Amino acid sequence: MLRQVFLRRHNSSPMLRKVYSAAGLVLVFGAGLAAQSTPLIYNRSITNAGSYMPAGLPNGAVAQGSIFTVFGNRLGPSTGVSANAFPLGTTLGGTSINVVQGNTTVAAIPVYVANGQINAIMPSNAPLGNASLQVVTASGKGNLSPVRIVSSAFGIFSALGSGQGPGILQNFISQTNQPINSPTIVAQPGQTITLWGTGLGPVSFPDNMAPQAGNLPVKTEVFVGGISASVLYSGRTPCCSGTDQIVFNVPQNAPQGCWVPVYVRTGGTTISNFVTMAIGPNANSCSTDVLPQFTSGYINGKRIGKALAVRTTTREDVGMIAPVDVTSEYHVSFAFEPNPGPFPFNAAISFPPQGTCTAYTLNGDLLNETGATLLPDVAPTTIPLDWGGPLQLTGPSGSKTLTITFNLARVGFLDGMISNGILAGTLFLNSGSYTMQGFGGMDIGPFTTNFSIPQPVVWTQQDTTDVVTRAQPLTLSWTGGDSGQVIAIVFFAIDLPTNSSEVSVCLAPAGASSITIPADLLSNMPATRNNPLQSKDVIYLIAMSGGSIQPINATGLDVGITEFDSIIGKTVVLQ
Amino acid sequence: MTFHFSRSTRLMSIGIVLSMGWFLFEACECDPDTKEQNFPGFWVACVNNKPTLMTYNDNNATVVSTDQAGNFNPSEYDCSHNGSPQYKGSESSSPFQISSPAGPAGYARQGHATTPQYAFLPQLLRDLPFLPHVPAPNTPPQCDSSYPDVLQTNHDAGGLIRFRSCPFSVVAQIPLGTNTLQVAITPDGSTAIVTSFDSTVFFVDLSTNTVKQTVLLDSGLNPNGIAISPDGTRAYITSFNNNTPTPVIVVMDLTSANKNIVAQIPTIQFPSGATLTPDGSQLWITSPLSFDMAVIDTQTNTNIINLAINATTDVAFNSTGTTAYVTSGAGAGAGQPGQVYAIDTATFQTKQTYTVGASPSDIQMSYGDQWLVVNNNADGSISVIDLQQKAVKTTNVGGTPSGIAFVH
Repeated sequence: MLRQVFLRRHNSSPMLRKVYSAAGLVLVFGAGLAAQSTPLIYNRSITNAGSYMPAGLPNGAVAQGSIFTVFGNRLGPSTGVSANAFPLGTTLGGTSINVVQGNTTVAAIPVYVANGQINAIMPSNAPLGNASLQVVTASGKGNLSPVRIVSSAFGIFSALGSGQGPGILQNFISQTNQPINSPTIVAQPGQTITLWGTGLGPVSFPDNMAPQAGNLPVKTEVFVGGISASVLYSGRTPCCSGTDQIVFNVPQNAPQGCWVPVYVRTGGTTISNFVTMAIGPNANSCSTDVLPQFTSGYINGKRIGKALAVRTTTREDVGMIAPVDVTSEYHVSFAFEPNPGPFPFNAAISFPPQGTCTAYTLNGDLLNETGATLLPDVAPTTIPLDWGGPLQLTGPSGSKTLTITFNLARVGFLDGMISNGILAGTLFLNSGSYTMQGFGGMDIGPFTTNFSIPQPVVWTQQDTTDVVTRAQPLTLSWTGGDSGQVIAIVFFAIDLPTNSSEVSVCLAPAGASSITIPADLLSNMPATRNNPLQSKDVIYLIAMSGGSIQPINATGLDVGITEFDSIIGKTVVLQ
Repeated sequence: MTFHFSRSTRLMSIGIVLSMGWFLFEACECDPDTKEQNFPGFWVACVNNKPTLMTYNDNNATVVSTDQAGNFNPSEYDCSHNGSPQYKGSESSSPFQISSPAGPAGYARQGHATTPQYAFLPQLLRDLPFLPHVPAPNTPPQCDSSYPDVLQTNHDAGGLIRFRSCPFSVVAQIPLGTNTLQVAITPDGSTAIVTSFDSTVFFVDLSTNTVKQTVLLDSGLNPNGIAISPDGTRAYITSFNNNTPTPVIVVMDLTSANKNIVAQIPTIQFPSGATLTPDGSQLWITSPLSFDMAVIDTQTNTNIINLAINATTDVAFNSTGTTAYVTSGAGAGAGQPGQVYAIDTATFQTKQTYTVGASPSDIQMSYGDQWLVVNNNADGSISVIDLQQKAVKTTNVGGTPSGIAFVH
């Protein structure tokens, strides 16, 4: 598994396969435009092989001695070649890689080369700072592409090969039995875990030889659900050059759930990507504290569905002449039969436990308005189930047919308004009792479900949350809502010029009225640009109403629920 | 297909509550045909914990006893876990759809019967948040000093003119040398840098509207296009000629007192326009007299690639720098359409081509990456490209359009 993970990222991610397929189509379309035959490293495509952390983020550098990934074209043979014996060479399959900084050039050590992708080891003696990478093949030298080299920047390998979701973490049961943790292979508090990744830092022995075991000098910390774990070992694994193991014990007080966030901090400041692990009392199954029936259905491949109503109100006051409040109301319905596989994960379903935080990063603009930019593994690979025609929503303001206003998508706009007299409107999703009605389709039968929308949650410091200092934790508080509600903070930080995004997601403890976002999550967000219009930094407080979560009892649906979400947003400046 | 989502809606797709991306790609409104009609193919399901090839017979899921094509290999599927089978192959996707024994109802059904629709969200909602120019309550936009000034070079007179845009007035006329061509402003707004074909670069203090420095280059250099790095430390100046052994791009150190030339980058014939990606990592060079355009890595000042696009004039980027929009077709006469190429800045492949008016000369991207505006020099028209609907509307305005900017 591990070998597959770090050698072939794309094959394990349907989302990324789509990207590759799309690129293939474009290649045909645009053939003849670029006539060069030398290797081409794609822009912004050099990353840690475990995290794929975008280079535009503070921790998006490549560590000395780590395995990094390069995407491009004409980088190697059409059929991939892997290095399989020590000593590793500086040429593999006719491909070599130069790391250039001024008059200094060192050779990286390829471990996998193919036409579109290279995985290689950044030499432990590579120059620190800004450098360039160049691929050389029989057809010549390719372009020089920027790379930032640091002493330590750790990336955790993930089971889905996307740098997020279930990590490659082995539950230690015995020397001969160490299965990879998953929602069906669950760790218990106190259990010893072996975490796999790359980027702890340089070594004193040759990078191209079988590594020597031993702790590396960099300070290494592991956090499980935000709780510091005791680290037993942090260094190279003897099997594989450039590959690190961190052995730790699951804290006794670690949160439990199917997707408990795990990250590594090196040197006291640099955090890795966030992966997940399952923790609970039962070794064969896990449970979540948010929508447990729904997530259980997802994990077990049941037919699941949701009918949602959402109101979003965002205060926009960064880069504006005058602040405005923008309110919009939507409805969404979806149902599908997931094919979760051995490592089920979907960032939109696989919530961290309440009281914990996680983060996702992406080379892209997650708030892009003009095209779909999604986290990996969010778009299910299985087909949707048919609800039939539009649903009907009846409440205090009357009855509305939930018209689908996006072709091919069961999403619709209900109402909206903008303050300052810019856009007048009436809102529909006010507090009160509602009835959601479906009329049945090919897969899902008719249903009628009653639910309620409470008085709105109030974000108490919304007006004064203007500047966020990344080096300090950020505490947000609120009042109102209803019993059983789930509060989530979703904090987007997007740097447009480098096309880099981080989104931090924190779920408040049940019944809490405040939550603190740790500085570790904020530290990897890009600072707001001098021209604030080149950044998109916004905090959303999401209240999933407890009274709105009601079962949809319909034939053809194993688990169905209604849901109302109140979302309060605020633009901020990150310093 | 194109979907228009507000940022709030985008949030839902990746945040804590929804998986909207799935709808983007796969949901549909469905016609009430039989399942066989809608899904005429095969799928693989676990039946009695064994991988099984299945198909629809009318509305009934049916086991396929013999795969006549011989493409189904049960050993490639794993039924040892709950739910649908897993495809074991790591090199490619399963050759068959994977589903439950009940079948993948809905897959391959007919799409929406009508023509594609676009969201009817009000434009303001679509662009929000971060709509920067919303007026204060009940105060319509008014001219004031916050509106930007405009600088214009005058080639024949050899000077620079500074205009106030609202209300319109001439602020200053600044005499320079001969044959001035293009102008750029440093990121701190303090200085305008003006190129002159006659081997000269002028530095104008914008607080006093006076020339504060004149840099005379080698006589073999003919400054034309100019781009300034986002950090304000470097200026990239094209030398508009076909000198041997090769024309060059001049890299000037703006932090040095004498504005030293730190590099000369070999490039295409008659390099004219110079445009940096928003992060400053790539420099795109156009030439109205060349069959190529060039892309340069600014960290090493080396050529990344030459693109075979003829007679290019200008480049605009989207806000993330992932797509370059290049105008092509300089020199063509009226009635000969020009093109705008949308090029992926990572792969350098053309993603889309738009046909615009004759001899497009300038291109500008609107805030929010929704619109491109193109001047068509030869036929006196302006083309507006809607990037969401991928539609072009060209309007005759007369004259010889040249130079374009959005007023914010």
